[in-house]
Amino acid sequence: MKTDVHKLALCAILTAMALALSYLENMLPTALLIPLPGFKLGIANIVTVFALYYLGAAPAMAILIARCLLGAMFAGNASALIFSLMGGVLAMIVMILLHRLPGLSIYGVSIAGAAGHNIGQVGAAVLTLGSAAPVAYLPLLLVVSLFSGALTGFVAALLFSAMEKTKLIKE
Amino acid sequence: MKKQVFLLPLLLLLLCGCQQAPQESSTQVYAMDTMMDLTVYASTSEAGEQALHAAETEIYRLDALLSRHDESSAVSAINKSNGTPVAADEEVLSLLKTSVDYFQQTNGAFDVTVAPIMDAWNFTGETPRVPSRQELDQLLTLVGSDRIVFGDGTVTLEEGMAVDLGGIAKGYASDRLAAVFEENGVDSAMVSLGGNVYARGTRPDGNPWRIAVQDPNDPSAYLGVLLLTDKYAITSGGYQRYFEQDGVTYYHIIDPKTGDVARNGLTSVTIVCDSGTMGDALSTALFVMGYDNAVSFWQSYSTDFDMILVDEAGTVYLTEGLKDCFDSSLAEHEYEYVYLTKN
Amino acid sequence: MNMFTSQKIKVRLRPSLWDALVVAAVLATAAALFLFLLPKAAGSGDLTCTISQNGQILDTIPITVGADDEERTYGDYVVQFNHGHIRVKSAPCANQDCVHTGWISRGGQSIVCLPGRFVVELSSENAAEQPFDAVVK
Repeated sequence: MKTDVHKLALCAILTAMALALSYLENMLPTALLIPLPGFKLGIANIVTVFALYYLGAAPAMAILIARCLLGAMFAGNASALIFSLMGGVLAMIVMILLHRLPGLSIYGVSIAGAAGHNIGQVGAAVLTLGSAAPVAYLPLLLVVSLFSGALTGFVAALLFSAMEKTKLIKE
Repeated sequence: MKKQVFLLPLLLLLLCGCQQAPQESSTQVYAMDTMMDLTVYASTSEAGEQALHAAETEIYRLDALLSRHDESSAVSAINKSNGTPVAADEEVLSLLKTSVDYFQQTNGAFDVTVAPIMDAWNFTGETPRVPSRQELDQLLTLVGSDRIVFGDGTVTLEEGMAVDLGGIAKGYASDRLAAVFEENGVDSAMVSLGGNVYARGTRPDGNPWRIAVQDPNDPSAYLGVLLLTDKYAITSGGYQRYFEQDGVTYYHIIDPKTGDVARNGLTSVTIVCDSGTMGDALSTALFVMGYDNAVSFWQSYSTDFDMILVDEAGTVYLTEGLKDCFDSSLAEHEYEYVYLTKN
Repeated sequence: MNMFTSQKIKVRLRPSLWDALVVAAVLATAAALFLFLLPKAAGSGDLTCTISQNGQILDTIPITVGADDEERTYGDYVVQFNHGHIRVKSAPCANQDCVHTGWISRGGQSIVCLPGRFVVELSSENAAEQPFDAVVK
């Protein structure tokens, strides 16, 4: 498992999964809730959380950036790139800072990451629209991030405990 | 406990509501070929409405007096002089004399007698056109404010000559509005006469008025925001009224010396000063002068004023007096700001 | 068995009290922001576009940030709305000043067609949305 080839292959698989998840996310009618073009709930963060814990900060960041770039390329939408990058990178930074704290569980880290994700996206909206108006959505989005973060944490926790039981990926 | 913390700011908000706040009244007036926005703050809305009504009456009075397109105006009467003295109203005579003063002070860059040339270009009409050099040379023989002859309550223009006070009328109107507001006890008002701004007193919250300065290269962007109290801000630029022919843009500021569109390297001139009349005349004159002459004019002029110049390269020049009242943080684009000093 | 060993870090898989602290922090931030924005939202937080001719209001349109591309016709004028940006796309006047004005997007901005006395204005109750009181031009 610890060889570079393994690691590289895993990174590639995770990038593909993250892409698939963010594509799936595009189909969710988030625009009904928050009318910000390019806004996403951050379901693809499940992969980020997993990669961060399993592979470490640097590979996780690489997967994230690859996902954002590829996602923007497939969607052919450069303005969506700034949304996913700012959201993703801010979430990443928050989680890198928090995930080594001994007390926090994967839930706390995911929730903080989701909050960071939403703050980053609102920041992107403020930048692209040149108006502070999107900040008005932030309180609602922060509350939403409690749920999306908990969901992300739950799925990641499920994944880890399943791996522990099945010994699917050996140490 | 949490609920009480939540209620505290609401309570404070309610308390603020009890204080007697100045009432805002505003109106729009179409006059002097432009749209005017007037907003006043008075102790009661009745007082505000009354002041606005007086202001509106004054604007219509001035429009009827100074319009060149109104056949019955005092200015139209003067333009029919054809070499014979015409009796004119004291106020019109005085404004015309002021215009001639600015003609002399600006070395001919501000000239109300360019009217025949403006007519040839027909910027405001249905069919603007580019007059030939020959035609302009012919018309230039009718231009020159120094040829206006003042008598005792009369004025004489040579045959074919005409005056257009459009370059000073709005500025003068803003000065008159200051007097109207004074009479009506209005201490706080914001007036925009088609982009000529008069900021009276302060905002109702006690802070200076915030006046955005338009970017001549992008009409939806701003160079920054001026923070002004009791000031006039007036801009001349080639971006507001223009037409295009054969790929060339012709805008409505004419160099009185050539009769042609004034292209001396500046794209916008904003004057910030204590008189609307002066600001209006100088913004046009300094635009016509170009950067070098405008700066030396500013350095040597008898009355202090501040200005913002924008050149064709997009550089923004501001006089030192604006250093503390110009906020560039709102600008959407990156500009190079250069501060000018007097020495 | 709540621990999963990976790299050199132990992953806690069950929520702890510390997680509650994170939740509380996020909620507190949301509440603080909400309270901060409350006085401004009390008016009508969003921009309103007023279209008038000869002083008569023809249309009042609330402008939401994510609004789609849309065109509206008022007599001979076509006004285009695009993601909170508004312009006069075509006009019957000779000088085309209003079309030259281009896009506006902030409270306090306006587009004026003098010959037709046609005005497109953006206004906002929200003081933070209107960073200036007038435009010198």
